[in-house]
Amino acid sequence: MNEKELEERLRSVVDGPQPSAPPSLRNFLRELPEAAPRRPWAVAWLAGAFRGLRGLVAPVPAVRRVTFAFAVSVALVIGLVGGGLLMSARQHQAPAASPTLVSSTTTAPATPRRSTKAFPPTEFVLKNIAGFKWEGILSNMDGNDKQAMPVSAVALKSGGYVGVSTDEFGKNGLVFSPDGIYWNWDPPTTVDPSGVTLTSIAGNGKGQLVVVGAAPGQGGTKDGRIYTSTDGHAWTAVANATQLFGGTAIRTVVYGPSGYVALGWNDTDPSSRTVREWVSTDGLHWNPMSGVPIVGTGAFILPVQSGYLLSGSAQASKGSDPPIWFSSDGHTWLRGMWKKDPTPVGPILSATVTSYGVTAIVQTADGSGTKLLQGTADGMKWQAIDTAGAPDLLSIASIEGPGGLLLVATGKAQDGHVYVSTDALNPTGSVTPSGSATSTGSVTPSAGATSSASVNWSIGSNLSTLAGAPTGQTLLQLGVNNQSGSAQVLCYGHPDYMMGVWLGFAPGR
Amino acid sequence: MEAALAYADARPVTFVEVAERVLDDAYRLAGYVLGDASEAEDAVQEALTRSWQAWSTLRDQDRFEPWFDRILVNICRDKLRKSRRFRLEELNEELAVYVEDPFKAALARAEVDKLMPVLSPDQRIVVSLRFWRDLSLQQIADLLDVPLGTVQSRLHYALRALREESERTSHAGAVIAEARR
Repeated sequence: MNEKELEERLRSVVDGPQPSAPPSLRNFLRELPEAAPRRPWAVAWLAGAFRGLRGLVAPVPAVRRVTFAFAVSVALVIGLVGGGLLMSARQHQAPAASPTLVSSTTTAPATPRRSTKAFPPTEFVLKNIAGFKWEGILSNMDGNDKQAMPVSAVALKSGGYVGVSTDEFGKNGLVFSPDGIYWNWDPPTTVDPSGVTLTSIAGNGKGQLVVVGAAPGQGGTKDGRIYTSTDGHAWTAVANATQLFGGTAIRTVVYGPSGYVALGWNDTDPSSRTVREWVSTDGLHWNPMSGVPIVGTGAFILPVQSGYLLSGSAQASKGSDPPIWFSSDGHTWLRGMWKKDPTPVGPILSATVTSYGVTAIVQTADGSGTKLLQGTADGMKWQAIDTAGAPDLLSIASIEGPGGLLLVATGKAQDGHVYVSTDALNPTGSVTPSGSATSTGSVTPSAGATSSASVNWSIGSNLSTLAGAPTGQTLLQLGVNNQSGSAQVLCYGHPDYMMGVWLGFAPGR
Repeated sequence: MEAALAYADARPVTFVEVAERVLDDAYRLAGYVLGDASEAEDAVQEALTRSWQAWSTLRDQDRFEPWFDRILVNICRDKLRKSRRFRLEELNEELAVYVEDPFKAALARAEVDKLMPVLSPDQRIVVSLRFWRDLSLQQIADLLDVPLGTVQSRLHYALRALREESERTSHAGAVIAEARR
C-alpha cells in the first residue's frame, strides 16, 4: 500500500454520516450552571486532585454536587495550608557567559518557610510512595495568553500568589494565581512604564513584597531596579535606583532572618564577573555589601534557619571546600567545609531545608553532572550523599510531618523524570532535628543530617506522561493536604514542546 | 480586577450556548482520536468541566473553539498515554461488537483499526486532526501550539509507521494463508 492509498483509506473513515454527541453529554452540559465560577481554583483543585475519582463526578447531579462541596472544602483546607506551601522559583538560566553555573535557583521561598516550623501541624502520614500518582494539568487557563508561569513567586497576604514570569513563558511581568497552580496575566500589572525587566520576587511574610529587575542603562548596560508593594498590583520604585544599582542587573532577591538580600550581575560584559549584593531590612532602603565571595554570571541564595546560604563560583579556591557560604546577616560570609570525605563539587543548583539540615543538588566539579549533598542547618558542614537510582538531579523540594520526610527531585536528564526518595520518608538511625546555628555560624551538627550517607531514589510512579519532555522539570511547590494526609507536588516543564504543569499526589494514611 | 469581573458578567453568550455549538465536533474529534465512544464521552465531559471552570478567563469568545479543542486534545493525549501504559487486550476479538461504537465501527470499516495502535499518542492526534478533522498542517500546529515542522514530522513518521504496519500484517496474513493451504 503506497502513501496515497493509505491516505485515502484514512480519509474514508469519515465517509458517511457522522455520530453526534450523545444525549448524556448534552444533559451534562445543560446541567452546568450558566455563570462561570467566581473562584475556579476550587474546582481546579477538584479536577486536579480528584481526577482519579472522576467516576464520582458524573452522571448524577446530586452526587456531583456533594463531590463539588467536598472538593471546595478540601480546597479551602489546601488554601489554608497554602501559607505553608513551599514556593520555589524556577531556575532562570543566565545567558551562556558562564558554562559552570546556572543562575539562582531560588528554590527557597521569599520567606524562610521551608522550616517545618512554618507548617501548621499536619496529618502528613505518607508511608508508601508506590502510590504516587501524577496528573498533567492545563496550566494556562486563558486561551488567549500563552504559558503564564512564574520563575519566582510568593504568597500574597490577601490570599493567592504573585510571581514573576519571563519571556520564556510568553512575556516578562507579573503573574497571579489563586492556588499556585493556575497562573494568568490578569490583572495586567506593570511596575514601571520604562520597560524594566523583572527577574525575582520576595515577601517578608507580613504583607510587603519586593520585586527586582533591571532597566536599560547607558551604553548598553543595565541598571538594577527594586520596587515594593503591599498588594502585588501597585508598586513603588526604590529611590536613587540608578545611584544604588547602576550598571548591574539585579537577578534575585530573598527574604531571610536579617531582611532582604538581593544579588546582581551582568551577563553582557564578559570582562565583568562581579557579583554585587545589597541588603535591606525594610525593602525601601538598601545598602551595598562588599566582600561577596563569588564571581561570575550566576548565584544561588537561600534563606535558612539562622541566615542565608550563598553559592556560586568562588573568587578564590580554598582546597576542595564546597563553594557554599553561610552568613547570618548577609554581610560576613563563612565558607562551608566538608564534614568528611572531601569531594570537589561545583555550586548549588537547588536546595531544600528540612529538619535534618539542608539537602542540596550541586554541580560536579567539571560541570558534567550533579551530586546530592547533605549539610547542617546553616550549611557549614557538608557530606556527599549516594543517590542510587537518580543519576543527575535538577531541582529538589521536601515536606515533612509526623509521617516522616519526603524528598522529591526532578531529573536533569531530558527524560524529565521525577524522583522520590524512599528512605527519606523514614530516615534510619537516631534522628533529631538540626541544631541551631549561632549568629557567627557556629553549628551543632544534626545527628539526623549524617545518620545516613545514602538516599535511595525511585522514579515517581505513573510518570510516563513526562516522558519525552525536551527539558527537565522544575519543582514549583511541595505541599500537604491536611484533610487527606497526602503529599502534593507541583512541577512544570515542556511536554511535547508545550508548557504544562503536573500535580503529583500520594494518598496518605 | 473589578473591571475584569464586570467584563465577564457583560458577556452576551453563556458558556452552555457556546459549548453546545461545538459539542458534536468535539465529540467526533475525541472519538476518532481515542477510537472509543465511551472514552470520547468521558474526555468531552472532562473538557467541558475544565473549560467551564476557566470560562471567566477567556476574553475572546470567538476563540472558544480552538481553546476548547486544545483542552480536549490534551485530555485525549493523557488518556492515550494512560491506555498505552495499561493496555487492555480484547479477550476475544472475534466477539468484539463494534456496532454500538460508531468510532470503532468507522475505523474497522476503513480497515485502519488494527493499524492505529502502532502510533504514539501525538502521532495519533496529528493523524486524527489531519484526516478526520480535515485541518491543515498549519491549523494543527496552531491548535497544538507546536512548530509546523513538528506537525510535519509527526505526520510523516505516523504515515510511515501505518504503512509499515499494514505491510507487516499483510505479510503475516499471507504467511498464515499459505500455511493453511
